[in-house]
Amino acid sequence: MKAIPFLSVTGVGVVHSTGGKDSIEIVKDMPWPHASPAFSEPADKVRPDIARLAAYLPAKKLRRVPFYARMALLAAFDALQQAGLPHEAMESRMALVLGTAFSCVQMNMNFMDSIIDNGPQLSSPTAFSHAVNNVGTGLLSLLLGIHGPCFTVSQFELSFAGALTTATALLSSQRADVVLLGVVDEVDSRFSACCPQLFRDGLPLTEGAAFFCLKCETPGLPRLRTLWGADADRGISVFLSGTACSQNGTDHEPQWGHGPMTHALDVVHALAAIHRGETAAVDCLCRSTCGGRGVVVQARSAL
Amino acid sequence: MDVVVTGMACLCAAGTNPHAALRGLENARKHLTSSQHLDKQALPYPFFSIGEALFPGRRRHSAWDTYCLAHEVVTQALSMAQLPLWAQREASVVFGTTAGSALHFLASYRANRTLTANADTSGTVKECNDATAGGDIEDYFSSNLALQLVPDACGQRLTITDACTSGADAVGIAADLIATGQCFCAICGGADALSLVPHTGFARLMISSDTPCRPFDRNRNGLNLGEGAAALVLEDAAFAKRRNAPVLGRILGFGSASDAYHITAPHPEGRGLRDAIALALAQAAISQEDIAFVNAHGTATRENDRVEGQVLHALLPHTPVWGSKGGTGHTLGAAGALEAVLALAALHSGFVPATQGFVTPDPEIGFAPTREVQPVTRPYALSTSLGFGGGNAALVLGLAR
Repeated sequence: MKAIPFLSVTGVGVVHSTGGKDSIEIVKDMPWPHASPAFSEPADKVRPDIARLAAYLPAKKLRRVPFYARMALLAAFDALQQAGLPHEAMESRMALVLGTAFSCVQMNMNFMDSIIDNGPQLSSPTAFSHAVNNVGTGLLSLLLGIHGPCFTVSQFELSFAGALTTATALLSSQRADVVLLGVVDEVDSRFSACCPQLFRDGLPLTEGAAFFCLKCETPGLPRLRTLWGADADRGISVFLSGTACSQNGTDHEPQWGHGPMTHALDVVHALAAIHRGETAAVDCLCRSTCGGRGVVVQARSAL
Repeated sequence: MDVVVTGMACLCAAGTNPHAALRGLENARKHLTSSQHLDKQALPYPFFSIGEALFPGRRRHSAWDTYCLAHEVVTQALSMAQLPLWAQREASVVFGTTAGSALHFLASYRANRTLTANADTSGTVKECNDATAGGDIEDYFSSNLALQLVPDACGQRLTITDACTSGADAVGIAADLIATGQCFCAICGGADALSLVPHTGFARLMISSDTPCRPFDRNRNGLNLGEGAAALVLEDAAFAKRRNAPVLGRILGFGSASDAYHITAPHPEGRGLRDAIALALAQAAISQEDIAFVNAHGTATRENDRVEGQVLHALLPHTPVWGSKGGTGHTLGAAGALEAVLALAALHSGFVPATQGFVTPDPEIGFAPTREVQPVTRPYALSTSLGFGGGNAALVLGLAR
């Protein structure tokens, strides 16, 4: 009875703390699986380079926009540019879905600091307004001029899978012609210091954003779909993330670090491999620490 | 869209089931509770408390509190729907929240923020002092609503965190999953319990009132936060019919649109809300004359009520508008789902309650919401939600045909 459709990918943009894979165009030039730069510092000491954002938006529009949202903006602009979508097209029939495990961590910590240091009566309203879970979605909607549905999905490692499911619902129900789907998460030493749950032995945390322009399945374009509670197909490449890393397949976290956006990075990597003709199908399996639930995102070559 | 409701439940200050809450709205303002009951440090803005009995053991001031409320309403709604076990295993879970997904573990953070995390030789923060593993942090990582509710269900899982439209969006997205054939049954809703962090945040945004709130009133001066949860079991109509499930109502239309105007203020002409209402009515394929009443977002803040009131007055000039937050408080991520359940209960009961707290019409808005109980004479209701970030949602709900 269930019929989960594929969605076609028209553009991808990536910003993350391994320092440089800005888009699928760059990823495709790397060997597969590529060798990421060696990590020498935790991600919150070497943050992603987002200088190119200045080419998309004037500095005055970025005032008070936290780094968290700036990473998302750059990846979103890259994805839109690769999809060939002019800025003017965003007002019509475009939706935004953002997956984020922890939202804007720095602003959350700033707000709690302000309560502790100054007391509730002098705590920072600005920090609170930027600590709300959907602040990234709100800022992207505002700065990109998206008037369609704008949703945020927050479920740790499965935030990308949840966002992709939401995008599927939006496109299948014809609420939008294009969905700008993204994941973004950031690292903050205050957060990391009190949450051992964030870590995997020996791996640094990764931060950044990955965005995808999606539309209903269209011939000639690579495809994605999400299957909840399914196992990876036998006989094809399987990329693993979350607590699924101990299963049979390829674990890329030693390359790009540990964190909630690794599922999306696996999918970018899978699409790059398909783009280069190295494979026609990759299953990206992620399993959540909370509840142990597993999701497969199937990346497939064009019809 | 042919999506029916076969189970529903709610918890709020006005009552612990839909019909009790509907009847309890009139006297619910007695549940407006001093913020000191929430936290000794809290600023003096009262809130609509749900009481302590719903938190097994004790209130933990963590994501666990929200999970407890969500678990309770899901259990009640599933009991009402009487889904076969195999169908429950196939179900999707779509739940909205704000506090339930936010980094609000203030107690542990306060206790441990001065400790320096250990770093291993590669610079990776590897282990924390045992004392940092606080209960509220553990709760945060183990209480994600969609990932934890209804453990045996294998369908899609979505925790929607769209601020004050989360609950309405969760219901709308769940209905879309069914309507597009991606599942035939979904358990959806919203939940939020309060703690010092969100209570302080709203107070510092200067939108909380230190008196009982007055939705749409000329002298309104802000919202009262509230705690609550609501759950609905949605099914594909054909599936529900095959199993002879009692149908409580229908989700006929959902509209969602963004203002893209300001991060905390609504668009001055309510652009996104107008679009959301138009989309929901178009999907429902009904005319505005068929709408019995609107359950408005009506937070009692100056801007929300002005913008929302003007939009409703322009689009539905002859339709009664009911603001339920005068008896429930603003339940944040639960609000849209709670108000959908209350709207369905009102359609069933055949009456629309009065808007608690409203006294004086605001000429800038141009209409008065319900001042007394009114009979329901039409089969459909509209429920609207506006949220931080510029989100707007509208649901059209109806009785079973």
